[in-house]
Amino acid sequence: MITREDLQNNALFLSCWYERSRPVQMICFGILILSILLLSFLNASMQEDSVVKVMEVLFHTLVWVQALVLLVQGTLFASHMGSRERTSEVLDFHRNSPQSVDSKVLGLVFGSTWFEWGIFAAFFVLELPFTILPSVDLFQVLLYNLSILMTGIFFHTSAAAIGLLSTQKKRGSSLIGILLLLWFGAPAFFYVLSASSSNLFVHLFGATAFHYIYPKSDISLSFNGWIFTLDLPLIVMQAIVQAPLFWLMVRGIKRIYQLPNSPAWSKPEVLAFCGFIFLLTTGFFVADYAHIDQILAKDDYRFYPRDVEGFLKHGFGFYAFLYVAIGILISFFSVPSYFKRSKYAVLAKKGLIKERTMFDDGATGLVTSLSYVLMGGLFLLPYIMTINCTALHGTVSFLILSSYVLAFAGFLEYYRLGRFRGNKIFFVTSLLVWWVVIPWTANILLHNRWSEHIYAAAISPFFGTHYAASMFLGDKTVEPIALMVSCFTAVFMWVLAWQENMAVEKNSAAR
Amino acid sequence: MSVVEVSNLRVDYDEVIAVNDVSFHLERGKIYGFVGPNGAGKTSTIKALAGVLEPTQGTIILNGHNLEVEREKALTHVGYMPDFSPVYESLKVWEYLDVFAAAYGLKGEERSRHVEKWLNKTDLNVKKDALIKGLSRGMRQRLVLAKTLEIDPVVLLLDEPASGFDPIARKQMRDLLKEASANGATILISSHILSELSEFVDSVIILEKGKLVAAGTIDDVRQQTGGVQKLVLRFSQEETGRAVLQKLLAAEGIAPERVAQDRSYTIVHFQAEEEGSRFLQKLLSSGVVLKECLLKSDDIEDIFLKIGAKEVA
Repeated sequence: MITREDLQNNALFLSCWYERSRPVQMICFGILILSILLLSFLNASMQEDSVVKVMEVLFHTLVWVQALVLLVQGTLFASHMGSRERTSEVLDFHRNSPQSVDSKVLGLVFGSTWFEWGIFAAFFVLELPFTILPSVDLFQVLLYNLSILMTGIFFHTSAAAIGLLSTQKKRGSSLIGILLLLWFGAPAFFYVLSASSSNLFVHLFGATAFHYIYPKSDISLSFNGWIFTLDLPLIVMQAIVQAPLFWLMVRGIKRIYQLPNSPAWSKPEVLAFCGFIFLLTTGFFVADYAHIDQILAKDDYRFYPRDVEGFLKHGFGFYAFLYVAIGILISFFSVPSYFKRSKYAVLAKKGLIKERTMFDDGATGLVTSLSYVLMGGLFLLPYIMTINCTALHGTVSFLILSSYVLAFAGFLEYYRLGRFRGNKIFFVTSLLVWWVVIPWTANILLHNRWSEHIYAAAISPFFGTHYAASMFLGDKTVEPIALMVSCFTAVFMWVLAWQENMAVEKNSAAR
Repeated sequence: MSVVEVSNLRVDYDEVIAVNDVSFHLERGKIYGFVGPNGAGKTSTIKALAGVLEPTQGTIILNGHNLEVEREKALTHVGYMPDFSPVYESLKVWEYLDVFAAAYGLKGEERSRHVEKWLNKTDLNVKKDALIKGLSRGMRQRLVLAKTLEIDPVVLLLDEPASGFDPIARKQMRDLLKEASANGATILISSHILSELSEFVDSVIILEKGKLVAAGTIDDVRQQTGGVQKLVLRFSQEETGRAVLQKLLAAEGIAPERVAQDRSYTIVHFQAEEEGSRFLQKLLSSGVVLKECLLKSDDIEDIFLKIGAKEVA
């Protein structure tokens, strides 16, 4: 239990408290909030005849203001305070202080948003008398507040972590960010293909709360707590969806304070997070099948019950086994701490200056890239097997999509190892030429139309991704040249990277 | 008794080894000058000791606790001041000190007393309620010094602390550091103003290109680096004076490499304290008339210049 004294003696809490407790700032916020409530009340009084209706409008204004203040204003302040630590470089003083890292996380996240939490608590108390209204249920109000509270904690923690990373130039962090986006975005994208409403986003962004306030609205009715064959209460589903990312953000903040030179998230953490997302998306996928009658009654659906049933019966066990096996392999091959120490030890013994190699800590190593591409493929597998898509179409679209990931990873390796390392103009120009100028020019010269032929344009993910996705959905035919062009690009990039790697090794040995 | 023990410290950046296999220990209550040319690895070493930079290899023991294993215990009484002033611009002066007093476990009345005491000691009391964003660079540096000292540190790590100070503030800082040392604090201070360091450090640690080249008391390091005393002479009649000097040097068996010429000044280096004074007596008794004469021991600046003059930016 956190006591008042704990907060009074928490340095990060105090640093935020002092900045946010200036009277002018508080009075301005207070006046703004009161004005909104007053305007809402006056407006309702003029438009509604009955007192009950007026009170209902006022209640809904309270509820919205409460959510906006906590989730929008609070999140902005958490992000601001996080980036303040980084930009002022006071972060180093907190790294140097003996306070426990848990206190630091608490101090930063709660300290930057205490005012919003105060408003939240006050509004919660104000909302209670409204439960005497026939349309407002006490239990629903409690659940609404619990849901907003959970989303608030999750949002503030995420914003503080992202703020702390704001101007971070540490190696690996931006790549981890891209990785997270990829891992988080890919299943979300495919989930959108598979379901009439996206549970992931509904619960992740806390829209769940409004189900308790507007239970009869169309949007609220589409929210559900389906996962695998279970039908969980919405609040539980929200906790399940938000928990892994919240955990990841707390870990990130802790590592930023404890391990100044390391990426905010270790690969095992990212892997664990990916595993959780995999569990969730698979759970939603299976749940869609379990509730397919209800879904088909409302919307068009891309899945065919018989295919889904076949996949679940014969393919799912193998799929899960492969996923776990590859996850374990990745843990062995790409967990940075294993190699980092051993590599430094070897270099120190040889007295060599540290040089970057293909297997350095970072997300673009060949083994790492291949592993992630394979795991991405596994994410696709159930959809390929259940959407009306042939094995050939599925495989070719997967190969094309993977080739872009590998080609970009190869280019990054080449850039990191080569003589143009750190030259951003070279980086941007090369990408522009590769992704835009060459495909565009080639396409003009070959008189192709984007929608039908993709020979030369397949060199660029801008054009090739759209083609691969269309083929995946069965809307396009297989073009062998497109596949060859995209795969050749990936191989070419890795040959360049390999050459640079050999040059680095040769230089190290010569030294 | 060692308060800080550093063994085989190595710090890598992307392309270079900033600190390479550096080992030293610091005794309680002593002041150590941390000297080296730009890029020698002083800042990286201090940052690693302060726990704000992860070393690639090596062990750091602070107050008997391994920094890597028992981070919070190791950092309990470690004050760190970098070469610039990280501050919260939107906080008031007293609030900033209050925040960091809390960070080091000071509570309630005791914390308020400490804040008040250090506001007075660093002459920041008049600015107590001013926002930090309105302070000059020197004032900010003074505030960070107060923040570093207010926790009664056992180990003080100061990286170019006087860079923004005027002469009065520098003297005040020296006095505060001497007082802290007298109270048992071990101080590691890096500075480019070597003449200032000479006045109050007990020992020096010299780094060059990431490696430790000399460490110990100033006398020890003088011996290690060769040359202990130097005699600076300016003759009334240069030609006659130099001729007599040459004869005397040959008679005493002093190698010509130990003699240097700087405009009209002749400088002779000696390897023992008595050697210089004995030589001066003989020179004077030979009838040579001197315009100026100075016999002095090598200070940190001389030692530093011998080791890394070419590297200084």
